[in-house]
Amino acid sequence: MRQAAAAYVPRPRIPLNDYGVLGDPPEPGAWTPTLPVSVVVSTLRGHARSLPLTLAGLAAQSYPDHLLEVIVVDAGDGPPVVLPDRVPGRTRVIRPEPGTSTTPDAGAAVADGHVVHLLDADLVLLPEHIEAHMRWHHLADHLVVLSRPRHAPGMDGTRMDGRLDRRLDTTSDLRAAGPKAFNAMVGVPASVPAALLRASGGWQPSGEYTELGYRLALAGAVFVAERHARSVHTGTPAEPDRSYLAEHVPTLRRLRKQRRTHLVPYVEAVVPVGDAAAEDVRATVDGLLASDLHDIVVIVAGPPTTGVRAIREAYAGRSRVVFAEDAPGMASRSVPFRFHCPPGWVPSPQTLRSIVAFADRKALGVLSLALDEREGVVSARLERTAAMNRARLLARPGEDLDDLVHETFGTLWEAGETWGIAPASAPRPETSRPGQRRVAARRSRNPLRRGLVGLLTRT
Amino acid sequence: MRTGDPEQGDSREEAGVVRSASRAPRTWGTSAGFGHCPEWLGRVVDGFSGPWHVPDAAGAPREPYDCVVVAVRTLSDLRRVVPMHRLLPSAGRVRVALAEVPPWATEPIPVSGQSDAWRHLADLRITRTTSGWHLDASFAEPVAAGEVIASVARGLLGTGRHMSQPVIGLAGDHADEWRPGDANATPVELTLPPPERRDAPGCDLLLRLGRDHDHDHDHDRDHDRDHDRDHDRDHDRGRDGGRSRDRAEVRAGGAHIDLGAGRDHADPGPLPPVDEAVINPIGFKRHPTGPLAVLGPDFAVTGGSDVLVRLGPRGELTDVEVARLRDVRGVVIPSCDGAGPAPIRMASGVTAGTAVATVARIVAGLAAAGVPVIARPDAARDAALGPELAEAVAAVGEEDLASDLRREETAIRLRRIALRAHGAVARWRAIAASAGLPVPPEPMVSVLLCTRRPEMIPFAIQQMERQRGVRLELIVGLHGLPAGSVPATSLPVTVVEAPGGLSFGALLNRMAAAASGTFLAKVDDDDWYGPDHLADLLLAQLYSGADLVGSAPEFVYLEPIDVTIRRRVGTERFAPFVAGGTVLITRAMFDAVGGFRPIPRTVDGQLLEAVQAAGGRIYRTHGFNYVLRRRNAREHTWRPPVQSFLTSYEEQWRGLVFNALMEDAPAYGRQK
Repeated sequence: MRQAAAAYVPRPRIPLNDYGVLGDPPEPGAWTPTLPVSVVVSTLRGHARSLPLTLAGLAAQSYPDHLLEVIVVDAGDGPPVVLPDRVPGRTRVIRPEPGTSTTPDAGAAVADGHVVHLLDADLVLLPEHIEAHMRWHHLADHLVVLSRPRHAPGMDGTRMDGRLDRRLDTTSDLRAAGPKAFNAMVGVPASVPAALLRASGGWQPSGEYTELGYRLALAGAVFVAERHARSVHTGTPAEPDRSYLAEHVPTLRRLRKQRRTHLVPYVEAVVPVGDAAAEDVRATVDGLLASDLHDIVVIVAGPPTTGVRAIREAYAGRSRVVFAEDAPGMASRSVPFRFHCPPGWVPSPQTLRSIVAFADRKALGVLSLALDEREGVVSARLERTAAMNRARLLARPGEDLDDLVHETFGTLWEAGETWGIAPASAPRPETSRPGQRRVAARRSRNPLRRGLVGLLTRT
Repeated sequence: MRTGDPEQGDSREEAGVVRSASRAPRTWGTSAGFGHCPEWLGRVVDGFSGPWHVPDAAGAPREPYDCVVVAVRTLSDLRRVVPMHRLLPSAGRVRVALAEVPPWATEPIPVSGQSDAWRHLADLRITRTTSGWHLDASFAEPVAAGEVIASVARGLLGTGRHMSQPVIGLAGDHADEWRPGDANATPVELTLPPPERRDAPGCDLLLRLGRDHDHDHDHDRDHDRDHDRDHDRDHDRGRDGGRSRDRAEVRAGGAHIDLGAGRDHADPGPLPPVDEAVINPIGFKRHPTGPLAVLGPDFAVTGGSDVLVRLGPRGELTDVEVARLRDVRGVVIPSCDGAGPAPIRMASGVTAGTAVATVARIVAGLAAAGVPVIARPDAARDAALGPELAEAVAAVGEEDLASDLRREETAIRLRRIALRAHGAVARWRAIAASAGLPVPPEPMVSVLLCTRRPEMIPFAIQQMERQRGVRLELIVGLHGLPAGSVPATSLPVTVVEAPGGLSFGALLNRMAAAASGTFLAKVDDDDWYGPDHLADLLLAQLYSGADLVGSAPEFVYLEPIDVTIRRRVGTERFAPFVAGGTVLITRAMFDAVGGFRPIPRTVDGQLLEAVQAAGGRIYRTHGFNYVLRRRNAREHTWRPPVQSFLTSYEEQWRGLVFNALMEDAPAYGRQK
C-alpha cells in the first residue's frame, strides 16, 4: 500500500524557483495525505536532554501515524539514547558503528519514507508542522521545504534567524530567488524527497546545511519557504564553517576571493578531442587555463590516440587538466557550470567569467555561443548543472532536454565573438580590462555585422 | 473689393498717391498655424511683423506687391496653404518662413514643374533657421506667390502624392484643412458660385463649411479677421442647431455630374481628414524613453509635470507635435463627460459637442501618427471616430503599452485603421463615392513570386491568399520548373516559365512585363508574411510618397539553431536598404530604372541602388508583417553566417515564434 501511494507525484515544470505556479497548497486538515515521511532526528550535537521534548512534539503531529516514522540517529558521543515514553508509533534509534557516518545521512539511508524530514533534537514542533511541510511534497516531487524555527526566549538565535527572514522578505518567500534560492537552507527543519536527497549525494560528513542545499539545487530542487510549519529551537545555533563552504560551494563567490584553486571547481570546461589536430586542442586548453577564473578544471575528452597522448604529456604537470576517455555524461554533482568548447576555438581570459556572470544575471540554463557555420553550426555551450538536472528530472521519454531547460530556466543563443572566443588561427587581440569585455565586443565594428548589409539586399 | 480690411485699403491708397516718390516696399503677408502662439509669429520673419492677411476666396489682390511673405509654423500648415495658393497675390519677391520642421523632413528645395514663375527667377536663398527654414526668392518680374508655395510644398513632401481628382471647391473657414496639399483645389467664396475653369466647371464637388455663433471667438489663425462680415450668413445657416461647430457639407458643383433626386449633398463626416503626408508613423520610436502622457485641459499633453505639447484649440495636430510626442509611451485621453479623473475643460462658450469632436480629431490624429492612445469608450466621440477605430482604441489598455514589442503592435494596429478611416485619400474616396461620383478602383498590386522549389509554391501562394485590404494579382515565375507546379488558387494568376539558365533578374523582368498593377511587389517563396503585409506597404507608400517601400528584416528565424530573433533595425524612416523579399515599387519608377538588372543574384540590392541613382526615394516601414527564414547553409548560399545575426539582436525566442500581427502564419518547414 505504501508503494502504491508513493507511486505518483506530479512533476510540474516550475520556472526557476517560482513555485507559485503550483498554486496555494491545501489548508492543514483539509486534505488527505498519501505520502510516507521519515523524520530523521539528529542528536549530533549532544541534545540528549531535549530529545524527549522533540519526540513528544512528533507524537502530537496531525500527520497520520501510519505515514510517519521517526529515526533517531544517536551520535554516539554520549550515553546511548534511551527513548522516552511518549514517542510516535514507529520510532527507532540507530547507532552507527564507530568509524562510519554519524550524520543524518545514516538515518536517511535506512529511511523508507518518500520524504526525509530533517530535524535536530533541540527542536520542538507544533502539531501541524509535518503536515504543513508534507502538503508541498504532494504537489511536486522535487521540492525542498524549509521552515524557520523560532528561538526560545533567552537563546542567542537572532543571527541565523535574521538571515533567513531577510531572504524570504526580499524574494517573496523564495519565489523570486532564482538559482540562488538554496542559500536559504541554513539549517533544519528541512524536508527533502528521499530520491532527491540520494541524487544530490546525501549528507556529507561534517557537512553544512548550506552545502547540502547547494547540492540539492544542483540536483534540480526547488526551495519552498513554509511559514506555517512552526517549531521552537531550544539550542544554540551553530556558526557556519566558512572555510568548508569556501571549498565546497563554488557559487558563494564572496568566500572565494583568493586567486587559487578550490576543492570543488566553479566551471568544468570540456574539450572533446574528436579528430581535431593536437595544436588546436592545446590552443583551446591553453586559452581556458589562462582564464581569470582560477577555480576551473579542464577535461580533455577523447580515446587515447597518439595525438591525445602528446596532449597528455604537455599537461602532465597541470593539476587543473583532467583526461577522460569519453565526453563525460552527466555533469558531476557538485560543479555548478559546465562549458563545452570545441577544439580550435580559444576563449579570451575574460570569457568564462563574463559568460557565467551573464548566465547568472539572466538566470540562463544554457547559453549557446555560435562560433561558425560550415556544414552545421559550430558552437560552444555553457550549461548550468542545476538546470540540466532539473530537466533530466522532468523529462518524459523522447523529450528534448533543452526544451525543458528553456521552460524552467531559459536558453539563449549568442555569438561567440561577442564573448571573445576567437579561432585559434586568428591573431590574439589585445585583452581589455575584465568586465569591459562584453561592452567592448558589442561596440566594436566587426566584419560580420557589416556582412549583414548583404542580408538586407539578398536575393 | 468686399473686405473691410483697413490695412490693406490704406496701403493701396498710399501707393496710389505717392507712387513716384521713394516709397516703402509694399509687402503682403499671410500666416498659418500660429493661432495659439501669436507671439512667435512676430519673430519668425526678419523685418516683417505684419499685418497678416487671410487669403480671401473672392480673389487675390490684382496689383502686384513688392514682396509676399508666407509664414507657416509647420509642414501641416504649409499643406493647408497649398489649396488656397491661387488666392495669394503676385510679387517680385516671395519669402517663405517655415518655423519648425520635424527631424525627418527634407529640405524645402522647390520643385518647379511646369510653373511660369520659376522662369523669371533671379535669386534664391534657402537658409536654415534655429528650428526651421527660410526661403527667399527674387524674380525679374512679379510672379504668382502661390506657385512658389506649391513648388516648395512639392519639394518638401514629394510629387508622388495621389490626391487631386475629383476637383474640390473649398468654401468657408478652415475648408483648407480638408484638402491639405491639393494644389488643384478651387477656393470658393461662400456666397458665390465656384469660378469656372477653362472649358470646364470650376469643381466637381463643393465643400462648404458653415460657421456657427459659438465659434466666433476662434483665434486660430484669423485673429485679425473681420468677424462681422459673416454674421448675416451665419444667421441664414442657423439650421445647424449648434451641435457641430463646422458644419461641413459637400455639394456637387459640376453640372456634368448627374446626381439622383435628393442626393445633391452629402455629409463628409464630422472630422476633417488626417493629412497622411505629415501625420503619419514616420519617425516612430521603438523604444520610447518617456512615460505615459495625458491629454489635459486646453489640449495640453503633459508627461508627469511637464507640458510636452499644446495642441491647437480645434484639435489641430501637426507633424511638429507628433515629433515631440515620439518619446511618450502613449497618450491617455480623459473622457469628455467628466467621468474621468481629469475631464477636459473647455474654454467658456464652447459646447460639449464641439469638445467631443475636437477630442475625436486628436485621437484620430494621434492614432494615425502611431502614437498609441488609451481612451475609455465614449459614445459621442466613438461615433465621430467610426466603429472600427473606436473599437480598436477601446481595446488598448495600459498593459498593452508596457512592453515595447506589444506597444509597437498596438501602434501599428491603430494607425492602420486610423489612416484607412481618416486619411485624406481614403476619406475623399468615401466622400466622392457617397456624393455619387464614380470612384476609380483601388490600385492593383502585382505580386512577383519567383521560385526554383516546387515544394514551396503552395506555401507561398497560401500566404498571398491571406493578404487582405488590397487588390492583387499573382505573377508566378517558374525558374526551370514545369508549368503544372502551380496549384489552383482564388487569386488571378499569370504563370511565366523560364529555363533554369535564364538569369534571375531577366526572369523577374519578364514577369513584370506580364504584370498589370500600379505597384510591383516582390515576395520570396520561403519567408513568412502577415495578412496585412501588402496593405501596410501600400499604406507606407501613401504616407511616405516614396518610389520604393519595403519592410525592415526585423524578425529572422534562424533555422540552423531553431531560434527566432528580432534584430536592431531602424524602421519608419527613409533608408537605403529594405528586406529583399518585401520590395514594393511603383510601376513608374520600375520602368524609369529599366527594371531589374539581368544578373543571377542580388537583384534586389541592385534595384535599390538604381532607384537611388534615379533620384527616387526608398522608405523602410516596420517589419512586423515579415519573418525572414534563414535556412541552413548547405541549402542556400548565405553570405552572412548564422552567428552574425546573434551579434546585434534585440530579443530572442526559442523556436519559430510569430508576433501577434503575423496572425498564425503557416509554419511550413519548421525544423523538427
